[in-house]
Amino acid sequence: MALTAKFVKTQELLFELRVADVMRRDVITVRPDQTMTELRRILRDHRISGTPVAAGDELVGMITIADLIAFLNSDGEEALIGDKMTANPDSLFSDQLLVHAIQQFDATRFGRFPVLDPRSRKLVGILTKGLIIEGMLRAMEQAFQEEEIRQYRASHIFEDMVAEYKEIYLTYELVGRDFDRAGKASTQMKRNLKRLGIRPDIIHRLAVASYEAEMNTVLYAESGVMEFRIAPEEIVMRLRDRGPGIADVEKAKQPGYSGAPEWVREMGFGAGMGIPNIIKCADRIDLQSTVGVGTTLSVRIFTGAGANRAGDEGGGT
Amino acid sequence: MTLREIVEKLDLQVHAGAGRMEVTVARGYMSDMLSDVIGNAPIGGLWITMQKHKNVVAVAVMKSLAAIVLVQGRVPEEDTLRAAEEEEVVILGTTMSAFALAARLHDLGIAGD
Amino acid sequence: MTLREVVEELSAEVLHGAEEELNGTVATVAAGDLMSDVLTRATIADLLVTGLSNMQTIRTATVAGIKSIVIVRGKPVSPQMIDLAREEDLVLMVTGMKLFEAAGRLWARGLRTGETRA
Repeated sequence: MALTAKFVKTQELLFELRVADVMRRDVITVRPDQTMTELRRILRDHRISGTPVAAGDELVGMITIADLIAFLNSDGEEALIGDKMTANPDSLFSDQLLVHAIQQFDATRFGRFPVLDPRSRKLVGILTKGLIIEGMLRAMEQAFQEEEIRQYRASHIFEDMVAEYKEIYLTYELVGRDFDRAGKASTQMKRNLKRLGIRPDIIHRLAVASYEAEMNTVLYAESGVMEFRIAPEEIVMRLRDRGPGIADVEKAKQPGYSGAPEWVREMGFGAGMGIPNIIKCADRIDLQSTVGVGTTLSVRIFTGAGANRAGDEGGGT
Repeated sequence: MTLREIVEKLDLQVHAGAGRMEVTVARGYMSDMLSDVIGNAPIGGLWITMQKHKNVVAVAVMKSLAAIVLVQGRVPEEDTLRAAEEEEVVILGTTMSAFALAARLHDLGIAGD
Repeated sequence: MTLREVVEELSAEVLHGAEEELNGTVATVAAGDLMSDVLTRATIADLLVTGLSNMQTIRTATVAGIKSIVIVRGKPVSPQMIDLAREEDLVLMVTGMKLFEAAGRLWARGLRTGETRA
């Protein structure tokens, strides 16, 4: 999930999650008839800075470490929690949205709130800022996992669809010398293949082969049409262009050969690796050309049972 | 450092210009774009590139470069070699990548800027 | 090393890339101006270091599976390139250093090409 998407998700969660989703339910409480000395031990043993005061499961007050310090400084005799607590404390309801809970934290500067059940008004939990953060992180992780599952599902498109025969066609028009858009078809195709759940190493090979072919057309030809046929067992890329054509097809398949003019090299291409690289990426290629008319290139990559794993001997004509 | 010492230390091949190994080199440049080399390479420097076509010789002459080093085992084309002999340009070679070669030259004290 | 460390080592300016992405590590480099060479690599590099500053740089990185790009020689980077980097979710930065200098420094920090020919 991109970072910006995460921030949007965070805001959404504040409006989706409720206090009940993140509060702690096993609340440590004290009774009003307990002593401050006992409070000191309880706060220390549980490492907490405050606790609700309950009579049964009814909330009667809040007592915090600040109250304890005030008591210790006052040098007084033993006192009961009931005498030192804040009665009728601010509290939250378990069905409130987190966004409202946060507003309460901001408004009051309290470190914790007791949580009541909206109907019975009984004490059901406690909420701190830390618990809010923990709860949100958990929810975000959950959302992320769900997103991953959704992508995984969307990806096995051929398995999920039922038909006697399944094929997807995608076509792109290429314009010669349009360097701003050169390569756009291949990069868009790469994204499409990802959505279709094609194996990453196959996507890589197809993307590289298509890109090299697309660049050749844009660099040297007037126009072209790039068609992808995605079938369960294979993906075929066919590029037909209208342009000068390739004079010597066999020579063009040799590594290192390049008839490229300087301006092509200045663009970062034309070092003569286009067609040999396409051959390396493909399982089968078919290259036909007529000088003065144009070139047709077919690239076939197997994806089904006959698919090559990365590292296999690729490339055949 | 002389070209001879660089060739020995880095085990470089000499494709052309075996007779001009005593030239000293202090600066290096790495680029495959001729317009960039013409504009920015240090005069008399060592040029690391993958380009093996004839035009690299003209660039080397223009900038009085000490030598061209072709990387990744690339070999100059026929007419590149002919031009190099005519113009007295040194062309060296290595199987290393440009990245690795630049680093080794750095270590030997050949400066970038 | 992390991308943040690359930025510092090369005194680069980040044109696209959030804090989270700059914490990512890179170990392998494709360095050069010829995109056709980048496409013939047997392995996918983490970082592309190049003086070529045009749309093809971004498209090549996308196709080749490379996630971050350093443009050297202080070449101007167009707004369209930055938009495309954003669309493809790539980290894009530019440095005034020359390719020779940048290569030497990254090598010294342990980055390698990741290809068998070193």
